[in-house]
Amino acid sequence: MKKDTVVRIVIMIVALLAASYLANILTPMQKEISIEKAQLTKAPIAGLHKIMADVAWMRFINVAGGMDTIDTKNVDKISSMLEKIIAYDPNFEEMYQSGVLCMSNADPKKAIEFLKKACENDYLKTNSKLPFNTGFLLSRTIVDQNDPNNILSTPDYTQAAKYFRMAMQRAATPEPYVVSSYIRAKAKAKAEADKKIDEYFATLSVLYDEWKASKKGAYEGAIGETSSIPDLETRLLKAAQSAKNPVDYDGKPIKPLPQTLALIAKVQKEVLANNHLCPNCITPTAAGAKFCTSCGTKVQVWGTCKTCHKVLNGAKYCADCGTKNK
Amino acid sequence: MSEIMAIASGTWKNILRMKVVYFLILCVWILIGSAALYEVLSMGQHKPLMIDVSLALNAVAAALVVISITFEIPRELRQGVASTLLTKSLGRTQYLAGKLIGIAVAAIVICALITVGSFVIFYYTFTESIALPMFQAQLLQILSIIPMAAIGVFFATLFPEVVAPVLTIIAIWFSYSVGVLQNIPLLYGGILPNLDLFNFRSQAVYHADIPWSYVGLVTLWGIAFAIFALMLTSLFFKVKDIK
Repeated sequence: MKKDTVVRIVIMIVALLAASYLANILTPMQKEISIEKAQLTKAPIAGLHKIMADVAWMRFINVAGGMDTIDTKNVDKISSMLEKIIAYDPNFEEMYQSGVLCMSNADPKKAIEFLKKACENDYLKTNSKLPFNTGFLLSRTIVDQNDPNNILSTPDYTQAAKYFRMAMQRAATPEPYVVSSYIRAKAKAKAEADKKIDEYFATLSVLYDEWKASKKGAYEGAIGETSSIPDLETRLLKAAQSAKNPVDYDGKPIKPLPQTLALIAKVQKEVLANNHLCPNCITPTAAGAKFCTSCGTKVQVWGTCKTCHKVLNGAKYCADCGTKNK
Repeated sequence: MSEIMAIASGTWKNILRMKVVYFLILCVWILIGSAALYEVLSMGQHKPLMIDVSLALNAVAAALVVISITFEIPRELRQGVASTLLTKSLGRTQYLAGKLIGIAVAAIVICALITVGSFVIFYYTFTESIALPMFQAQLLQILSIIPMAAIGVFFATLFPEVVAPVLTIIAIWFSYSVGVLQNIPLLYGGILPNLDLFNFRSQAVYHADIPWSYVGLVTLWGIAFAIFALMLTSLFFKVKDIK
């Protein structure tokens, strides 16, 4: 064998080993940088997944836009188109937000499955709409448009609450409707689990638990799960007021449960002690008021001068007698 | 070295002198720009679409330029141009290296022009600056030309011009697609090229940074693979009869 042939073979082997060594380093690095690659379809499309997703998305818009309605008869076609888009690009945000919702009335279970995947997607972890939509679908009873007797999905409030909570945690300031949805779903899950309580008790108890969690977080250095519900005390007040005067489904007043009354008292004592509330109807009382303006119950007077009993309106010194008040 | 550069410059000048190349670049720019019109049809996804189109068309352009060598080398071998060149002090490996460098430079210039044009179009369409991952994804696309050109030269040397372009397209397609072999690095990325290592088109759209260390290492991989493919080609080329 000639010398130059040997040299070529040696260079070739060295280059091959170097390439293999580098490939060995690069492959895991690429997996780390581009996490979604593992979920992509193995179909041989020469790495053109992203543009294929765009094409499939535009085709989906075209097909779905041309349909009079998406129902149980044609939802499979829509569903398979969306599956294809996910296989090409699992990070396609708009597809989850608009595409999946298109089919949610026709195949809610599949829609929820798609949305759950989106919620687990690392790239979409800052999107709060996706878990909200998931929770929303999970908390609804959806019936077939063509056959009202065919129930396509029934509420799963425990799961719904989990996704509403995720939506709250992902948003810097959660929208009030997200918070209300979370509280409602959690209360319904609680009421479903324990037949002895009603939704009034459940709602109040959910809010009270959240309040306790927030206090615990604050006192224990915010380790573990803390509440992210804004205006928690206001919500507790409203829930306590509703629970005190409950109504049935027809709007007729009903008697509150004994455990509800006990919980209201607890909430009033622990949470709303500084809110100057009427002990009977839990309406906030004005400074200097001797009786509740809502129910006429005698209330504890507050916000007055300790000497002349005139209303202070938050002033340090009484405008009438000049006494210094704390 | 000067002989290699002479062959290389002859190759890239041949390609870059052709007016059709610039016409094709113009067509690519028009296609990239037309993505802006898809705002309604894509429900507001026209911006990612434009990035995707520019990257995909750049890949196609790179493959087309590489394929042009699969016509040139067999033609030179058939018409005896190569034998005239090789009777001079030029070795066969130098001839191949010159062709490889020439085609790689031509493809890099063309893809760089497409990239710059796409950035200008993007900037004027969305009045948005070019994000680093967009630049990195295009850069990796351009760098993928190095191993791609080596594949082209390999098939161009061993097969006639009817078969070589087809085999090159299949090889490039295959090397972008066979992710299932990724667990066998010696085979996939070593003997068989893994062009998917250069594929970060999603990162460009989702603005996820690519570490520069990765860009550096993948460039080294491209060079190592190109050397391996070139030496393999030269071993076959050495025993090949030339008119």
